[in-house]
Amino acid sequence: MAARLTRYGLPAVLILVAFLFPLVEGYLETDLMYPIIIITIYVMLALGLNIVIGFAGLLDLGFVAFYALGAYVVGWFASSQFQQVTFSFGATTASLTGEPIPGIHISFWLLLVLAGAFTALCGVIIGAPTLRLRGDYLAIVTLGFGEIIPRFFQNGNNLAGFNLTNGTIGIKAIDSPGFPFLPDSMSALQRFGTLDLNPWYYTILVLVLITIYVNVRLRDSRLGRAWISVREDETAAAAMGINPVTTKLWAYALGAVFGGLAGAFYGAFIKNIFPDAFSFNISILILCMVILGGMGSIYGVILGAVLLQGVNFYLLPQMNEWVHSIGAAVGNQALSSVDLPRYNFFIFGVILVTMMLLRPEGIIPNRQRAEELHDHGPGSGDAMEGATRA
Amino acid sequence: MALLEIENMHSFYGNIQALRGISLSVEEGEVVTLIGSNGAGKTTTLRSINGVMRPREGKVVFDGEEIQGIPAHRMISRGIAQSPEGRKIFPRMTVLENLEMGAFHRNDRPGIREDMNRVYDLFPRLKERVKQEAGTMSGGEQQMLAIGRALMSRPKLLLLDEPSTRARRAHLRYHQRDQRAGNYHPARRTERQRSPGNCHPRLRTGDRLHSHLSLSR
Repeated sequence: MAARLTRYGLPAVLILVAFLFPLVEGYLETDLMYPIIIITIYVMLALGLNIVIGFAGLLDLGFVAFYALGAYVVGWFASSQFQQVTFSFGATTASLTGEPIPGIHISFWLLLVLAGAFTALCGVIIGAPTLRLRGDYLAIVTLGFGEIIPRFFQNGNNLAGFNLTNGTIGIKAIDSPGFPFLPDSMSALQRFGTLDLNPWYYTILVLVLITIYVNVRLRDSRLGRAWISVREDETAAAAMGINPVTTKLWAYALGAVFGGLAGAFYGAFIKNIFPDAFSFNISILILCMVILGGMGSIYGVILGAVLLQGVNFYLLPQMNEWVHSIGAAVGNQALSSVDLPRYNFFIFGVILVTMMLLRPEGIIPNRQRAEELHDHGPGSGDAMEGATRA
Repeated sequence: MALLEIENMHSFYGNIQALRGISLSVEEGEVVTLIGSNGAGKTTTLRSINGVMRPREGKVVFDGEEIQGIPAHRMISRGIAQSPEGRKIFPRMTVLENLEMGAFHRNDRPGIREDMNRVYDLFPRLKERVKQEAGTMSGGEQQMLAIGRALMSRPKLLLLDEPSTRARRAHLRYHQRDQRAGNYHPARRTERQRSPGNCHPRLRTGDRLHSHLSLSR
């Protein structure tokens, strides 16, 4: 009974709280909506990376590439980036004159599907030649890939005369999601605005719930079992009839899908995307979330993402203000002008090192993962273990 | 036609030749033991059969089909199961989960159930430890698990590499009487006298191996 309560009761309560949150927020008039949406995007990214790292045991240091690809899919097909063509389908933007607006404008909901499919394809294309590598070597290749994609977007403004990505300036004025077919009385839903963030919140919430559901189902599936066996011993897994390459490719592709979906939402939400927004730091940040929370543990990864992004987007700016006012009160020049958010990676570093020393399996560990980290017995000696332990 | 027929198999590790023309055959229902000193090529022979290595020359015919060069993960559905050297069990899975992995490619639940019970009959120790994590068991128990896991695929050919390194001989004997499948046992020379197999092809270290191994009955 107690087990059942934690299995179904706890998630039900959490989901209910998540759905009721905007009401509370609207009543209290806090400014939490924006950071919470960004945090939720990162929860989704962390859950995507959790499939690759936590389930399949592949160290991926270039996850930001899929995030960027997802965002650029929305950038390309829901903005006026391609002036040469005029095409609209289910778009929320229309010009005042009724003239068709230049560029490709496709419904955000279709683009979500497209972004997921496109990033999955990219995951497979990149994964196929590299997944034969094991451990550290795979990490290095993914690291390179994570650098190449933003660099490609940066230099993609003149591909044989064709402006694909608009270079460092990036793609501006991306269309908002919405349901243009709804009656005018529901104008807030016709086109998601920048003032009322609730529709955005519910969209990302549903996306995250889908991600969690898929994570849970994958963990308990045949494929999930195959991932565990490949992670434990690739040779023995092959002897059981599991093809290690396709098994790992699935992990890469599925992880990429959620990276891409998160990127697509981010692109539409933030409206302006440029290559610098997809730096290597983000790959590491997402990796930190997965490790901090507990690799392979769904609750843990969510908590890790909320904690780290919470520190980043809420706690640090808040603390910055407190420190400034303390500095002003005591007349200390250094305190009143310090810029705490600049030290975020220093703080993450300290958190991560402390975690690795005190609780390497993460805050909420996954059973098997915890043993892998504490067990010094006849492990597989796979480089991934060493890399994550280091 | 024998169940397994190997003709003039040559295998290499990089440029180093490990096998120089092995030929042997295993009939259905037969237990064959391969013996030889360290470095003679017992494990390499097995690896060349089960797809972990690709023989550079020669033919491996199983059940009437040439199987050399087919990757390892396709072998189990053809009926070749193995208990690899160094007991490659999944240490952080339970005994039950390990046995289930052995039947990973099968869908027939009643058949799997039946085989599971057969494995428990062979190795009652495993039944006692169903929920225990495999890595925490003794070496001999892990060996039983590796053999049990291989049997879970209901193989036509069972490849056991160093099966008696740690396992109790009594268990092996029992198991071999029971299995009607063709078994191919490499084991060490020191075990020759008491080896349960009925044929003993012998591999010798040196720059020239026997170019043809015939089975002495």
